[in-house]
Amino acid sequence: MKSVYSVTQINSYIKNMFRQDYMLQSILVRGEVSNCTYHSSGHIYFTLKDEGGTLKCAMWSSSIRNGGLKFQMKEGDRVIAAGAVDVYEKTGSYQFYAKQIIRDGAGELNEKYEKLKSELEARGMFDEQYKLPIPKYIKRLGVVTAPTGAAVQDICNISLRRDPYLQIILYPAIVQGEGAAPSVVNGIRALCALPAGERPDIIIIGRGGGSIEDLWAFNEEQVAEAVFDCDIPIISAVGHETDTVITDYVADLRAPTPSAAAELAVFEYSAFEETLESYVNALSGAMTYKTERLRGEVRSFERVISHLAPEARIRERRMTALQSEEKLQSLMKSRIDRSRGRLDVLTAGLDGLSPLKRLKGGFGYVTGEDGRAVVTVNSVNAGDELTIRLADGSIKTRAGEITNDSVQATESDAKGTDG
Amino acid sequence: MAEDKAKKDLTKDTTIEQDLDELQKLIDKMQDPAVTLEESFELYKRGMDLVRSCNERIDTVEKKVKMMNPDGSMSDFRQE
Repeated sequence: MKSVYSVTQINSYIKNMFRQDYMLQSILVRGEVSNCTYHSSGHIYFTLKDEGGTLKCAMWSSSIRNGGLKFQMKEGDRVIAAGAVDVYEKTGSYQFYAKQIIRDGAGELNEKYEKLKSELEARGMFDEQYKLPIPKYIKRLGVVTAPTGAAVQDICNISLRRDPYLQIILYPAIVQGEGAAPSVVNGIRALCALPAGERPDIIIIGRGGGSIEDLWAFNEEQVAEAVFDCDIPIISAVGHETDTVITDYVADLRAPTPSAAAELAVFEYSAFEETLESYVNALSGAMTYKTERLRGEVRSFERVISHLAPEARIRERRMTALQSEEKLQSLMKSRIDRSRGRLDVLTAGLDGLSPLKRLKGGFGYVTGEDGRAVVTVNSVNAGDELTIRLADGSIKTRAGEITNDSVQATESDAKGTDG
Repeated sequence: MAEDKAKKDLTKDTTIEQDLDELQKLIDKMQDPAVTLEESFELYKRGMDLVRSCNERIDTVEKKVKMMNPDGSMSDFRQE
């Protein structure tokens, strides 16, 4: 009796066989895409077929994110896929898991690209001498790209954010597939043909990223020639940073992306305003500085001159004289005041000492012929003229009998001195 | 007459970039102490004219994005 295996065991065994096959783990498959489904999870499920059969395939979103698929895959595309064959145990079926998918025939296009590039280069179409300068301050921007998609949005948004007063003129072009090249050429020509007042100052031609086929219009000779012939400066902005197309070489400027093209083409209005303002400030500043400096010079000359002028000297001396006079006067006045004060004090003192004040109540003051006070009887002889002063006047008299009390103790007590 | 002509020249024959270059040179010159006051006034006036002309060249009116139709006519482009 042979062993009985479960379905799971069989599938697991087969899966293991596949896993151990080195070739199946890393293999290239060529075929035509059919039943292609982009799942909402980000994974892609499709079938590759040729005349002889079909192969179920899947591509995980992680592989797509890693750059494994650079174009929108669709029914009928001829592709070459790199990946591994593995077994899906749940259904017992095998599948091809693609890590990278490129279009079959891309090699051919690459060859074409290189050939045209060297041809145009030989014709001098990439020469610096033919590049038009990109004006810094533009009024109108021409754009040749698809009217839908991120490229036109990015260009409009960034341009208008930088300069809200910019006029953008869009030529809605077909940028991939049938008729793309003539459409781009028509766009460039139509914008160039606009009358002077409406003509753009710069034209951006471009589109978002894609496969080499998607970008192919920008590798066509007729587009390259239209770019070269255009007398308006053209910025080529095709795909991502890593994509390079022929128009990048022919254009007057290459931008890595449509957004970058807008940044290169459009000036920042706010910065422009600031620049103008700084110029106004610089002008006014220079003017003010100049006038202030001159005014200062005039002032200092004025000072020197007025110092040297004779009137000034006279005025100065007059001032000094006037000041001296005032000083003198005030000194004099204080001196007089002080003296008068002193005099008052002395007068008051004198008044107290005045002998006349004492000549009250019968006392008198006797002076001799010589006007001196008679203080002793010894100085008087009988018959001498004497003057007796009283409070209200004086009496002239002659001395009679003279008695000396110090000699005769009992004598009249008449006194004639102030004692 | 001569002044009218000068004004015309100001807005027609030069670009904003050239005007700004001239402004810079003019300001540098004004800083030279050897420049007379009269000259300074002239430079100042010229500078202010240049600033005004630069300003006037950019008409500050917001515009709609225009789209060219196949027949060459224009229509407003509605952004998404």
